[in-house]
Amino acid sequence: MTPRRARIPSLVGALHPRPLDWLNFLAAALQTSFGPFVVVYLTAHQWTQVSVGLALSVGTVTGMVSQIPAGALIDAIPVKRVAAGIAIVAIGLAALGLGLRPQPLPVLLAEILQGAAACMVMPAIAAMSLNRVGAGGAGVRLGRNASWAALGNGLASGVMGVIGYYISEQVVFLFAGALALPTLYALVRIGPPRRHVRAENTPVAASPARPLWRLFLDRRLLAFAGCAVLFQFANAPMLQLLGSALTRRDGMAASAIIGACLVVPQLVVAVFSPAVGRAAGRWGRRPVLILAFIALPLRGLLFTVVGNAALLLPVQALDGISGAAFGVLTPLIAADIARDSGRFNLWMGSFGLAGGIGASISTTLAGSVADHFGSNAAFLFLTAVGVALVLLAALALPETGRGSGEA
Amino acid sequence: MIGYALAGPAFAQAPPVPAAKPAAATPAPAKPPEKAPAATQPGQFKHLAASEAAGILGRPVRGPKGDIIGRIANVLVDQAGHPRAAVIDFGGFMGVGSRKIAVEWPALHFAPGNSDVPVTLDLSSDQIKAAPEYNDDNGGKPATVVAKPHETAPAASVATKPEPAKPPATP
Repeated sequence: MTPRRARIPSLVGALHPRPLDWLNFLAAALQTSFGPFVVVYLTAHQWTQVSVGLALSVGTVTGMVSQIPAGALIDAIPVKRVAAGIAIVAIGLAALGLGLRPQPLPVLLAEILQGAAACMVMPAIAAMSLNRVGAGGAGVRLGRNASWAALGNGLASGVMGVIGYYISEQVVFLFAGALALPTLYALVRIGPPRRHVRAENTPVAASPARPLWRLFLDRRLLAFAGCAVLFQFANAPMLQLLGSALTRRDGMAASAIIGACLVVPQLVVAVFSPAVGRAAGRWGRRPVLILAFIALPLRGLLFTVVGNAALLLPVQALDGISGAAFGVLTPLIAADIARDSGRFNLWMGSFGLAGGIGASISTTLAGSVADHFGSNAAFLFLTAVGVALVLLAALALPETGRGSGEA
Repeated sequence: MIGYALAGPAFAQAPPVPAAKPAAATPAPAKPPEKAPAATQPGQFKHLAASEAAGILGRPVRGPKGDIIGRIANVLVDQAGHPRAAVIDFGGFMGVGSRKIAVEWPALHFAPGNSDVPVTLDLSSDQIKAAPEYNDDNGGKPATVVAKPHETAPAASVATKPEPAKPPATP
């Protein structure tokens, strides 16, 4: 257990949220609408299943294609708040467009806009965070980011679910679009960094001796990108598979449990992320990551044996543990690698792309396995990938932190 | 629309095109000239009041207890033009965990004028929950449709036999 003294900063953080905390909270809430909920919304507006799938694919592909260029773009923009602002406005417009005009062209445009902008928001916020902390504060600050983002996501899921059920699906997107305004306000309240811009955010010019593409061969980058692929591969389909299995078993009664399964991990992430950030500083990135990654195959395995709805929630808490570690350590490791290249957002984009690839392949594959062999087989398949993840992290991922003392 | 209506009468007065082929082997009688002109005649406009008929795709489906259990995602129609089943996007929370399930058409009841309860399903969520998920492309295998439980008529009853229902789908 972390000693009481070390816990106080996060408690104080919870009681006195700063504009950066609000930014994370609201930006995450804003993006929550763009999940599986879009399918429900479009179906309600007489979209055929094929068209819905197509629209979502456009969003996914745009997202993946934009990851690296968006990263390079944010690196090139010196004032990160501008990048974040543009992305938030874009997502807000996409949400409004989707809510007001559920026709093919507006929806496709909205998906493209949101796909591209979503790649920019979190990296830009992480870059802003790095510029506002001292050398030792990155872990804690990024932990707080993840914490507030999880709260935003969890609360928004609940609120939007209620709005969608009792009022209408359209209002959910209008509400999301409206959220862009307080998000921009929080952004404006943050103000310029008081210190000068960190080295991680200052791109080092490429030279013939050290071309840009050479940087992509960095072992730390490749190893963690591999972890990102495997993590999203194992993690992304699990909730949908679980939800499907629950609906099959319990019918409509499953809806409430699924809702709880969505919210519980977010609460766990909210509570544990600052501690993860601190631990990554004190003990290094590797031990924290490997330990947290073990939660992933464990969860997959437990899903095959746990039937009782009440026991499912503690198992879903494991989702929060691995999610918290991944969410905090991705920007932290990107920052470590960017220490000598200055291209923090390019590495964030690379990790985002890797994760996106893993998630895309996995959702279709896991769906197929579940259709042909049952959900348990699908969970075991994902568990095996989770084990591969733990092995990759243990054997191939070097320690990227500077040493103990760096938080 | 207006232009079309003005052109209508002029069209109808055009002489019918003779349809019989001159070199036909069989001495076919002069075919009534309906085939060719019917395709070129303007269509008739009929009117459907909103209370008479309404779209059902995407509309909410309520179970026997009145709660919304899903939305209509598709309608399966047979060769003769009769709808046989509807595919319902059932359950889940905010899109997570929803499954597509096909239910037989007689199990549904429609109220086009009622925007609150346009479609009702006779089957409870428990009765349909275990059905295998409906897939548009099932690899040639027949889709599983949930039907109303087979009603067992008492031996002495002379009530009309219920339409032979398919047995409930086994998961």
